[in-house]
Amino acid sequence: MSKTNVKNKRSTAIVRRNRRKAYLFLLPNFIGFVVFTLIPVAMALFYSFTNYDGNRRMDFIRLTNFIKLFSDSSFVISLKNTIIYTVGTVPLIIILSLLVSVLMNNGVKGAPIYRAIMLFPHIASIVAVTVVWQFLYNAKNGPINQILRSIGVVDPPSWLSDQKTALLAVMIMIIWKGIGYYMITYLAGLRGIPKDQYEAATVDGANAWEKLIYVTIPNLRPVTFYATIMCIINSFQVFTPIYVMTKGGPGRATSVLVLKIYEDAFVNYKFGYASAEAMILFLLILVVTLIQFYHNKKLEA
Amino acid sequence: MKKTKSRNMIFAILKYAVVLTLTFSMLVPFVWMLSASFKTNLEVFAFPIQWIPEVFHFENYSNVWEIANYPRMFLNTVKLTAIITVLQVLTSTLAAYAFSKIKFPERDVLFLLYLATMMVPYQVVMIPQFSIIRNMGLSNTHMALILIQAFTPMGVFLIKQFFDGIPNELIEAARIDGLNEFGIYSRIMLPLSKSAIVSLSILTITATWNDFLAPLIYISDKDLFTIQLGLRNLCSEYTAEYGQIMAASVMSVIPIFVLYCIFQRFFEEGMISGAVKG
Amino acid sequence: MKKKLLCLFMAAALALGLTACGGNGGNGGSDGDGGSSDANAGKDDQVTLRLALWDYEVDGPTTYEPIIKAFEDANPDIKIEVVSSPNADYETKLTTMLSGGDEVDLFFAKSNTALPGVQSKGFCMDLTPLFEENKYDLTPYGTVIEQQMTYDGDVYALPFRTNDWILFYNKKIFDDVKMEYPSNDMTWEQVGELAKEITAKTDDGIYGYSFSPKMGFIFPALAGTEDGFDITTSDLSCMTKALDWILDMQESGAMEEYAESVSMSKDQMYFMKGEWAMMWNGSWFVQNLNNQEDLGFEWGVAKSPYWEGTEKNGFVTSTPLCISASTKHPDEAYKFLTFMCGEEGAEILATTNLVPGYMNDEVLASYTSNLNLDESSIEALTNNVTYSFGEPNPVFSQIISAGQKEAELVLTGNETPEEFVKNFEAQRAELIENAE
Repeated sequence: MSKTNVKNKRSTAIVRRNRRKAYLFLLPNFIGFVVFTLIPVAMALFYSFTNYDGNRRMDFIRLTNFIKLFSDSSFVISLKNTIIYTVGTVPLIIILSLLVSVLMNNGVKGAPIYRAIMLFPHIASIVAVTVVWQFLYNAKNGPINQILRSIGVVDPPSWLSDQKTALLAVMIMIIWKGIGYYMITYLAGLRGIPKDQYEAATVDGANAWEKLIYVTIPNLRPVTFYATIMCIINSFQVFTPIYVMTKGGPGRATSVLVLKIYEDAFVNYKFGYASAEAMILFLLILVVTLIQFYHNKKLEA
Repeated sequence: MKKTKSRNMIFAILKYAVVLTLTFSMLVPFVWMLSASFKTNLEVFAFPIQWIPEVFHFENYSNVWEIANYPRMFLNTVKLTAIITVLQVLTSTLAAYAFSKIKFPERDVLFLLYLATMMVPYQVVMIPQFSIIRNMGLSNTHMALILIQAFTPMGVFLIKQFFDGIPNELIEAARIDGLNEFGIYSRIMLPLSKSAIVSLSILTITATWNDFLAPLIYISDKDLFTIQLGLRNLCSEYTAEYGQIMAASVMSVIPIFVLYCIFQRFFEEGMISGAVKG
Repeated sequence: MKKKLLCLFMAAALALGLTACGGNGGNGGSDGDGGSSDANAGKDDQVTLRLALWDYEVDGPTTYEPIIKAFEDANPDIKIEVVSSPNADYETKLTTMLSGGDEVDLFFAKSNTALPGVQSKGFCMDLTPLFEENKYDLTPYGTVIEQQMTYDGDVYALPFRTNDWILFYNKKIFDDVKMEYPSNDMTWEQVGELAKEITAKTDDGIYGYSFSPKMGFIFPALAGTEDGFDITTSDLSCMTKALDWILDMQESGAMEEYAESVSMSKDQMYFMKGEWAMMWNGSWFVQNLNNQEDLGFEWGVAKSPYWEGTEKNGFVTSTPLCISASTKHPDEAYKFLTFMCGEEGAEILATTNLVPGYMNDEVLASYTSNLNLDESSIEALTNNVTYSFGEPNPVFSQIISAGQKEAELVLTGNETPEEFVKNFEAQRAELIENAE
């Protein structure tokens, strides 16, 4: 009895000491985080239950915004487009950047140069990149369709002006733009894998593929978690490329959630409503992240 | 023996084919951009593409340089980028250490809170954040941009994931050796995660350098303009000079690209030292 | 542990509250925290007005600067501080400033269609009491005040400039094929025939008719298909006539395909380049053309075409200037408003080839004498009978925007004009219903 008491006391003391240490480390970031991120986010959460119009009106209207959302065809279309966009881009970006980083790590001559070039799309301004791609996608004479015709495609798509291919066209551009950064992140992660694990695998007679599956990928798990979550968040929240490239058009074919949120908040002054839309987006990302989070924990254990 | 050799050969060819194709596809649009930056507005979209302009219109560059007051904007942007990146790296690594290597009861909850705020789109956070900055009397100052960009949860998240990859045994051993927590952080964790820090730096630098929205909202005074804001102001939608837009883009990419090339050596070193010790 | 977390938040919130209050106290009153330091360094009785507008870097020297300077010379105790943003981002900047509580004394609304939105949220000051108090004469503004600036009988803005939609034509192309210039009395159907004829007679790469490839540059024509059209209430099937016309123009090759123009960023520059024989555009473009040093051809303008069977009229938009409802200096702001949008401002603006909202004989004479255009063109720019999208209301701009998106689907071949009517009507009903 008294023994467990002492033990408990000691563990509470450890907890207290750890907590103090942890908060000391957290503090510099935490203050900035609370004031400039957490509080504004909490305010947005609060707005979503009101009819706030940015100026005079702010009545508490409970779930009215959320109910209205689902009879708003523009919201439903944007939600659908956002999900298609995310499902289409995230896996490809992650897999391609992992693949390229593994290849680059495998003794490619001139790797620093390729690496630098592949980071180009990431660092260039989105406006310039968009103008270039609009030109590349030109239906009649654009380089992409010229290549397609030369390999025998009779009737190449008209890309950005066709309701059916416009979203795909944006997705291709984003994958192109995204690979570079995640490749760099993976390269950083690859260098952290202890060499002896590969040596051990070689002794066991593993081939390159088996090494990738049993050594590289498990060791990259924390990095992959980071890359996937960030990529999912960025995809669900895609705005600038679409705003600059298509403004959601033709029609509503490339309209995504954040574009809709932006229009409702800044053009139509429906802040309460826009916040409610943002909360749906938030919940969507949260669910996907939590699945990842617990899946990751389970793999770690 | 022969079989493995030819297989290695095929693998090497495949490897180079993939890497080169990707590199090429990422380079072409920029060559186009560079070439367009020397053209007049009407030549930019001419078919077939003329990769080398007949006449080089350097005035696209000189216009941007003079009208937009490029040197001033450049200094502003460099200042902001440097301060934000240093603050971001410093506070993120500290916080990440707490999240990754110290066990405390609220750890998971707090970390999820950090993650959660990233999931709310900036478009609805913008106005409350603006009110806070304004109430502090900081609108139209560089301080506003520093404060809102230096403490983002993204940095903490990135570094924490890398810290998680560093074996706990290493830290336990150091603790037994009598090293205090700050010592572990500065003498073990930081040197081991150089490459992650470089990765975060690249991310922060590009994000700050290319950020347009925050300067748009917070900065009104022309003397405080950043490159992106200044250039966007120069290229109005209705009298779009595409040659000039491209020249402006090239001018905004070059500094950061040079910076990256300098960083690259550090990056390389960071990765090697990380690999040896790990 | 939950308690502890809560305490931490409370502490943080408290800290924030303190800094916020501190900030307020320090900046209250004359020390406008957004104001630049030199503005505050002046005499104590000097007032700085913050004026929000867009593209000052581009349009400032020609359009705004001379008027602001004239005002500051006439009122040395008032200083104007311009807050500008790029055209495409003006809504973002303005909304953040207005909703975030930043000091803005006067602001331009993007266009008259955007005004109902800001007005209905209470961002604009009701100007009627000020006009009555000062016995300000509103007649020189014509019908625009009543059509576009008045809500429930009260006036909320003054038009800085107005914009007639007119037909620009390249005289050289018409001369080369020995055809007569477009007249001031043409239907869209006649313009179509003319465009086809020119396209047939000229080399490849020259189009008879075109417009800047943004839906805002063609959508007004769709609203002219019926007299007294109101986009909120009218039967939309009348619009198919205009859409069929555009599709016919594209198919016959008299006009470049919309999708093609978009991807090549083919805007009004191509009129300047001499590739378009005719272009429908706002009268503000006269200024751009006159500022070109070396155009290589002469040009003229004709009154807007109208649809067969409707009254002869054209489309008009305006650029409203509002006083912010939260301004601390209403009297000074009123002074500036009636200067910029009043006679003094109009006299200066008229010399820059833009049409001032304020019109009297002298202003008109000054405007026309500065145009450097032939008589028929000058006639085209004056005495126009105009229509707009109809009665303004809070969902006005949303309906227009939905219509533009649907119409874009027709122009890109994704939808037929009949589907357009069906879909647009459904969306309109939804917007009106959700507005309640």
